[in-house]
Amino acid sequence: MRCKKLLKYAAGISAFVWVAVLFIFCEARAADIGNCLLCHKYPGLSRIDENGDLKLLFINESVFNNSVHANVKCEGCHPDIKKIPHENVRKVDCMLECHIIEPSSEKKFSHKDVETFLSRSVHSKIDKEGKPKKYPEDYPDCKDCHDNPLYRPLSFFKKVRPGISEIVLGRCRVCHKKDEFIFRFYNHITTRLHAIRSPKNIAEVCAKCHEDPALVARHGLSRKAVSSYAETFHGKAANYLSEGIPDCLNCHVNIGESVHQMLSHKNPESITFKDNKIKSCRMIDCHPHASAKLAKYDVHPEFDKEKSPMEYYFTAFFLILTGGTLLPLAGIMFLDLGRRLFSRKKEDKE
Amino acid sequence: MAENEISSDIPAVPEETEPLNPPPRYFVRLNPSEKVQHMLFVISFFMLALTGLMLWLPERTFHFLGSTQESVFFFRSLLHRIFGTVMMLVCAYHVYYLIFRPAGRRWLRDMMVRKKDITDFFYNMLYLVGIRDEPPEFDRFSYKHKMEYGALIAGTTLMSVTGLILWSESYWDKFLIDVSALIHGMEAILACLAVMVWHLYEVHLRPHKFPIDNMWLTGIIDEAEMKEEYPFHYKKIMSDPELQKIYVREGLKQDG
Repeated sequence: MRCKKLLKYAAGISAFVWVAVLFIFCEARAADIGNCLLCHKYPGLSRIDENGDLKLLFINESVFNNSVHANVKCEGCHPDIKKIPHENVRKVDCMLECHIIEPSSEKKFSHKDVETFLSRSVHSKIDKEGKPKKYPEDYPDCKDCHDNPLYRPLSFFKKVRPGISEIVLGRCRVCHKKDEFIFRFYNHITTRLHAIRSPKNIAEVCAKCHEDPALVARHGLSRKAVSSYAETFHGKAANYLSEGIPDCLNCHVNIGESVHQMLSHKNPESITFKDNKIKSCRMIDCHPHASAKLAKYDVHPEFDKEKSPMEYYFTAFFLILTGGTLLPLAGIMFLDLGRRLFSRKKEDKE
Repeated sequence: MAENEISSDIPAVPEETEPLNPPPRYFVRLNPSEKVQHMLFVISFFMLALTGLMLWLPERTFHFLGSTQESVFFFRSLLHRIFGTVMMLVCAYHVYYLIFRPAGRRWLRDMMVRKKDITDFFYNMLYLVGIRDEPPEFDRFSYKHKMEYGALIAGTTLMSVTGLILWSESYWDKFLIDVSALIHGMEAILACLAVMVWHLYEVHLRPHKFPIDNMWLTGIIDEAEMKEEYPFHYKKIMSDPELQKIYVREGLKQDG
């Protein structure tokens, strides 16, 4: 009898604790109204889909809560989920309108404008006539560049740079009372004032396509863009993790325009068009007094015989000069050494 | 036959009655000005090599420095420019020295390539491969010194010009900058290897000099070394009292 009573008590207390924990858990995550993390918080939650690909379904809670989408509820991006447990979900459409109201227009927020910018860009899947381009699958989707760790928990993590100034936060607190709002608003503004990624990281993102030999060949791209960038002073500094050095976006995006609207170097409106290149060199933080000659030559030189014959022959000349100088010198050095050691032994014997 | 030809050029040393305990004689190879020029050149060369070749190492080598890496590379670039300027100033002074100072003019005259240098080169090769028993008798500067000095002039000129182009990159055509960066880097490798392979061996690492020849610090060598290394110059000095005033020091081993 006593045992049964004890068991009832224990079951009651345990149920109370579980409910309390779940309640606290739900309160902590305002965006997780549907309590999706109840299942998706477990590392290793995954399945093999019908194509044999491993789908990792784990959501890292701390990464999620610090991500740009922390305020967006799960159903905001996954509107097709109506019940739990849910069935297969559709691929997320980043152009959906979400529940957040954009303050300047008071309309529902959406990334739709990005689609408009992308459609004008060299990376658009459709051409000027509105027809799909050749090899449309080669053109980037949102997640090809925005490799937010939230979506790819096992991919590399962005460098953590809080950059939060307590002095500035103090000013915010004069009018705004909620620290959570202050931090979020502050981050929202400041992350747009400085580069969120290092130039090396940006180059690595671009390299995913622009260093793919098959893709480069399919689209007739003239060079290995990222490895030739690494050969320049800018690329060197980027690989030394310098953050103040120009990356791909600084030179390939028209000044003052969205990075999504990257134009072809053949387009006269593009900053990379032959007569416009100097404008990016002359930016105030770069080479403000640069002569027009600076940008007249190949910015991404590749030292091969066909693309840069002059550099190729200079390299070949110096290699021959180095070998032709050092090999005879080393030969004479060894002969001299042998002669001295040999003569000394001979003298010692005598 | 060949030996007779050389020996006919060598001045005869006048016979002297030697005192019982003659003070040791030393011969000046570098005068104080030349020592300072050499010293400044060595320091600037070493610092330029150090700060320049950092760029040739794989970038990840320095990632352990973390956030200080940017400051390290800022000072690398600053030091490279400072020592580049020092080297160019030393070279500019050396040109002035060669033209306007008597010792400089003597240096330039002795450094000129002569027919003897060509024959010395061939005789030395024959000596090194064991065909000749004796090495050629070298003057103040052997053919090796002259080749190295020529390479130094060419190399320093090339490095200075390309370095200045890279320093003022905004004013030039990108093609010129690319070619300058290429030449600057490859010439630097060549110069460093030549110094490591040749100059260090020739001056410091040869068995009779190992581990270091302190002539670059004292500026002088003793009589035995002078007779062995530069016999032709030794004979010229000993046969000319004016040259003795310039090159011979007696007594303590220090340069006056």
